[in-house]
Amino acid sequence: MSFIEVNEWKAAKKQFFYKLTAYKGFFISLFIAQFVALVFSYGGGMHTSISVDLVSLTVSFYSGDMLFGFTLIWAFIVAAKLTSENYRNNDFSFVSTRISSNLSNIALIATLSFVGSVTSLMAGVLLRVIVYFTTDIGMIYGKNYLLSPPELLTGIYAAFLYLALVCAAGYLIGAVVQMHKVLIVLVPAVLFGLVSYELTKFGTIRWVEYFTSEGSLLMFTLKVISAVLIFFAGALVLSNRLEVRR
Amino acid sequence: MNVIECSGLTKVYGSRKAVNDLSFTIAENKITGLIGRNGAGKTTLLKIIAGYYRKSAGKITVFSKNPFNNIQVAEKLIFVDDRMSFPPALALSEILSSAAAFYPHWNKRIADGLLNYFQLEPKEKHQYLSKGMASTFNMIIGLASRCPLTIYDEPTTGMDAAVRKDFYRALLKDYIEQPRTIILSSHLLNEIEDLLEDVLLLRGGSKELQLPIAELKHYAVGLSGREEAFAEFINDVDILHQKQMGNVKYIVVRNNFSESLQKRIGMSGVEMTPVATDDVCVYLTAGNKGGIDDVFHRSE
Amino acid sequence: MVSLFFLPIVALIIFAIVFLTKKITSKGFRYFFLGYTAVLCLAVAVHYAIPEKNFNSDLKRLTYSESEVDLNAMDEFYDALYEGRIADVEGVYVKSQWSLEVEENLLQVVSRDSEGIPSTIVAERKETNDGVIEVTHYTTKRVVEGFDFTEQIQPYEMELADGVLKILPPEEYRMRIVAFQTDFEISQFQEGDGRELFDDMDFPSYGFGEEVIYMKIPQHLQVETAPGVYLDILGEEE
Repeated sequence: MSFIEVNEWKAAKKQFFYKLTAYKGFFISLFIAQFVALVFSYGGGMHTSISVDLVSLTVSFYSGDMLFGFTLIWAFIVAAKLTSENYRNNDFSFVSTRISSNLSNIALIATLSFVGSVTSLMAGVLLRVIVYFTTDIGMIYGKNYLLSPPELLTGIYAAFLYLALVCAAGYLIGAVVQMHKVLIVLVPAVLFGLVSYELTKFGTIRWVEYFTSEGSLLMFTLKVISAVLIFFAGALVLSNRLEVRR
Repeated sequence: MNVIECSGLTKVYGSRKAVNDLSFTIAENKITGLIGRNGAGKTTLLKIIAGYYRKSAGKITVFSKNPFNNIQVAEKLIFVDDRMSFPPALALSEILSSAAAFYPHWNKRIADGLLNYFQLEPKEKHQYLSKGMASTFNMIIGLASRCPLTIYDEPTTGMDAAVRKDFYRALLKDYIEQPRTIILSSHLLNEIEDLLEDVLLLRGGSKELQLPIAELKHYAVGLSGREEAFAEFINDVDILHQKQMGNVKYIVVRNNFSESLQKRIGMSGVEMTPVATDDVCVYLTAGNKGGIDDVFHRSE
Repeated sequence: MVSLFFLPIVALIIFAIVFLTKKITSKGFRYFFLGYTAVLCLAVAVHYAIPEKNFNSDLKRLTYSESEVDLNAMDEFYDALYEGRIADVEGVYVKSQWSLEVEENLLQVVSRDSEGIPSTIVAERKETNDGVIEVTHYTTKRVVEGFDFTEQIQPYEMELADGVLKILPPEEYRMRIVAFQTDFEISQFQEGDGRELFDDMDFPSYGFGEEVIYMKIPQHLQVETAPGVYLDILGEEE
């Protein structure tokens, strides 16, 4: 990336460390969101009952889905927030260009995604441990209970990619919305329309399925990385011409 | 060496020209006062210099580069105004230590000393400061950063008189210790005139004049006396301002009288008085020679 | 679709959380961060310290090959039953047996109050009129979602008095199990699908098992059933 000067990288690095301390609240909001998800997951586990002649089998399902779902939503919100005027202006109180500001945001997003992925998987383990100690052990079905270390690592890796993807999408959407006030209403409306169209026409959202139905970790990685690059490049181009209205 | 060079600079908002065909230069290590009324284009100009706004036409270089979105310019300047924003999670002391990372010439001694002097609580959050306190804090950042180009846009907003005085004194002392290019925008010249070396006066987005402060003090002269007494002297001079008080008339004119003429004026019973630089600026940027009085005279 | 409905609400909650935490002080942050990460690390340590054998072996599920005999028994069950050779089928077990003496010529078969009887009831007339009703409860393995409940199901109770045979079904056997679904972002890259708990089920349905209460009655005994109770007498089907 030769159009980025050496000094810009340096400034971005300083901004990144500045943002780590300045936006530490993001981490706390992540933890609280995960805690809420944990409470919901524990209290509102899914139950299915089967009754066959004289036998009634009730299965209480637990999963880390809500934890990960909450983390995804958090990631989207945080990434979109970074593009808002207040956050951009904070950068320009000190040394900054649009590019260094974006680069440091991307580094921050990568860090947030990493922390989000590790903690959401670990919180899933915490849920298992809580269930273990609060349930009669005889009732726990062992099959998916224990997460093997490779499974845990795969989960963290995949979760990181998903979070980066959602962040990049949020960042791009945020950058688009910042272009004009009308877009604040228009963009969510268009997105909502697209989602309902896909759901009614295909019963699924194809551009979500493009990622979720990919069974190969390698292909998934490539798909996510290319999408993330496109999203960030778009956001960069959009914001690079923007004036700082401080 | 010139830090800022600008020619034909224009910034258009819709159909309004906030900065109109502006040409000037600012030399290194000088303190320049950017004076003008509200809406004269001071802030717009400063934000173009700082690289925040894009110019619409003309040419501008800061440290020989186009400042818009340029890291090499951004590194060398700091822009201080009352809208500087900081993340709400940071305490004042944390903002200062963060700023230190960005500015290689950061002077911690001055920053901490001033914070203490102005009784700003290090653990306080920036958004809970009063307007004057926030301005004081921003000014501390401007001083301590010791940037080669330091821009203050209306830095004293909300400060009380004592703090303003302290600020000007701190600015001057720090400047002597470490000379650098400083631009100070204000609509009040009288408070800062002792500080300034140059004045750049804007009117309606254009340059009205750019002069060393010493010359500005002699730029205009006030004449007062009966109207017929000085009629002969003012045929070919610019009248900047005039006021009628009973049968005594007071006019302000460009001071380009020859010495002999000055003598003749003195003998004709017309009183000649210097005009404060502040007033000169007001007269130069007024829309109307008679000032506000005209409005009331007409309505009578 | 349900999750799509909750999405805005959850987003709103999280938005509020993000908004409320942006002013956190460095001190507050440190406590929160250290506290949360410590709890998570502890959880992981504890999780891997839990020995796998702690999990109840009763919750082992049958595989298809283990159940082959039982599935065959299922297939053959009714044919064998109506051909009177149910006792000979492999995979059909005797759960319990009764021998009841009836003096009356009319037998009324009832259940508790107005309940029905979940089991099929079949009667076979004996060659003799010995006044003895021989009741056998035959069952194949009772499997639901691969779990074998044959042992857990309590036997029926039979009460015979004054020509009235009460067949009392046992209480429903209730079992609750707690199961985890593999996280979505892990199962996506796994061979099987860890999402559906019983996805490996290659049984014909979610559960199987047949049972019959088989009675041998004296030759001339007349049988009446209460409403809701169905009884077939071999060779006398309408």
